[in-house]
Amino acid sequence: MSNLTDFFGKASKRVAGKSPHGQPAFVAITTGSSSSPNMLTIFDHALNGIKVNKAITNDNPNYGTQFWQNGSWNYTGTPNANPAYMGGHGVANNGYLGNSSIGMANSDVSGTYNVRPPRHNYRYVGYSSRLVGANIGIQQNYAISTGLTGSGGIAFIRSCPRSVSRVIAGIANVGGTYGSTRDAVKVQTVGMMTAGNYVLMSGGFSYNQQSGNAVIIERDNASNDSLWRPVLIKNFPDPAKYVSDQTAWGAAITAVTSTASNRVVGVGQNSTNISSRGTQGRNDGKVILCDNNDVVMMHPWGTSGVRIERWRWNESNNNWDAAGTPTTYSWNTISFSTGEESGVNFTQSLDGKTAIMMIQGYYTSTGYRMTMVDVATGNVKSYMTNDSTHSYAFIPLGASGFLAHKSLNASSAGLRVELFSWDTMHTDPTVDYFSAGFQSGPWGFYDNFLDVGSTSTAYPAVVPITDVDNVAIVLAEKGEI
Amino acid sequence: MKPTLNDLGYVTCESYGEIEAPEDCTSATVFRFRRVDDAWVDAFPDDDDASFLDSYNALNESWAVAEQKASLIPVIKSEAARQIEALAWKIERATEVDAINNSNTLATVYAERAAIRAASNAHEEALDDITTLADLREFNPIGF
Repeated sequence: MSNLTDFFGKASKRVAGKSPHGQPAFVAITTGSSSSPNMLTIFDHALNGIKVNKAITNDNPNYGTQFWQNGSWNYTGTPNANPAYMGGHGVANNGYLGNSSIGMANSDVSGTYNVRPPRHNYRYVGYSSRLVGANIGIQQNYAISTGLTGSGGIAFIRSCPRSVSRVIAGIANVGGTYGSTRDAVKVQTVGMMTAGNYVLMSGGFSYNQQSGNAVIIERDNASNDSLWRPVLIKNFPDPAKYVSDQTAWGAAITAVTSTASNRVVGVGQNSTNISSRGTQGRNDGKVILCDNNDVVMMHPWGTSGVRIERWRWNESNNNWDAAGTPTTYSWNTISFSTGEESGVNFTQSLDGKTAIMMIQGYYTSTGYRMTMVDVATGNVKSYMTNDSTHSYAFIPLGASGFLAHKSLNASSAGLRVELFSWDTMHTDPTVDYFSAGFQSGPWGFYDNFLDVGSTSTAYPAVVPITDVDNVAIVLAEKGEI
Repeated sequence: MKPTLNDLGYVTCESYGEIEAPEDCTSATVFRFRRVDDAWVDAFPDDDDASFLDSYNALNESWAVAEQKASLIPVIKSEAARQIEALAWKIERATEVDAINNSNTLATVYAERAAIRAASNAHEEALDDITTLADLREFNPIGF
């Protein structure tokens, strides 16, 4: 029997692939100057360079520069100067949905010669990191939207194709109103969220493909200081099977929750200093449901920090133990305080065994706070770097790894990246480092590892490519194809 | 801890630099220091550890504004050049008309070009007056 049965049950039959790792992994975008255009350099999952291309097809590179400045990022300048509602080109913009700023044609920037890269409407891309749920596992061809924070009968989730536009559709005045709100599952109506004046955390949904369970994060909306708590739904209908039919998904969920034993309400988060949680912390966050039902949650804290909480599942009690002492880190202003800005983002390895929750550490896009979660055990490792100038990104690479990028000057030094995985971080991959809190970033980001198409850039950006056959890459690394 | 410094000697990142930070610094408090004449000095002596970040943020915004303004000036100039170049056909036509009719329609076209240059200069001055990122975000460099 295949050693991949833990992914598929009975292993899928696949024909031999030619080169799973030849699929594109990410694009490095390097800025142009008056003498050279903006360039795209594409790398595959083996870190081979695939292609170098001009980013902007026009006669005047300055128009390309202008696009980036007005459109989505200003990566010719310090990343913290990016538009507030964007999340810049750092971790908030580069997650499971790819890069929020690049995805589809929609531009408000005029310019006679511009042929621009496709991207989303600049006003709303920041929403995507806040709204996306975490569907943990190897099936990564769909996404979950949680909508903006909604209380009572308004709160919804949607299983949808993996794109920013599909995830943000249905929020106020974006992507339609009546049609898109019906194209969703109301979590209270289907029996997931507690009846009454309860609120669903925006981004507070996770489905674990291994266990077939789901969790939502809810709190009593009667008080600003009410505690977030997890609600486990066992035997949850697989979202991947209902991408085109929310009505059927809702009916299937209702059937599950009608059996009382399928729904377990956990205890609230740790109440320490809860009055300092702040507006964004009582609206948004991200949650990872592990294979063993452990729940790890990250949410903004005040106006300058993040907090990580974890509930360990106690099988003998059929419920979680009390949330442990949280780990909180605050430093400086983070721009997550208004409606259209980004929030806690997430990504996962291509094998779905390691999840990352992450947010910028300074204003819109520089620095980072990130928490890695070993999905099998619920163990945690957290890292941070205080940085007011450079953005960072964490991009899945290969079956179980990630690429870390820092937007350092690439002139004559190439792209500053490092490779890492759960097993390579800290000293012992089997140990839980939750109580250690956020450790200062361990990466060196040394020179001359990856070359880029243009070496004149001060603040290069990297963009993850999401439309790949991740299963083939996982199989290839296990010798299955 | 070896912080990264900018050209002015201020700390912009807690790590990845070459010079060891002052003793007892944390990842947070290292941002209050500045490197001057090969020595660390307190860049915000009037602020305590709880409040110096407000001053730091204001300073950081001023750097970002200056950086972006510098990058936008070539965009304004390029747009002016594009608009001026777009009038080439008018100059050719006016030159021919004036040769035939002994007129001076060329002066009108030249006046259009002068107006473009004036608008471009005014736009650069408007850019120069901007002091906040919020205002900079509303500024369209080719909007003249």
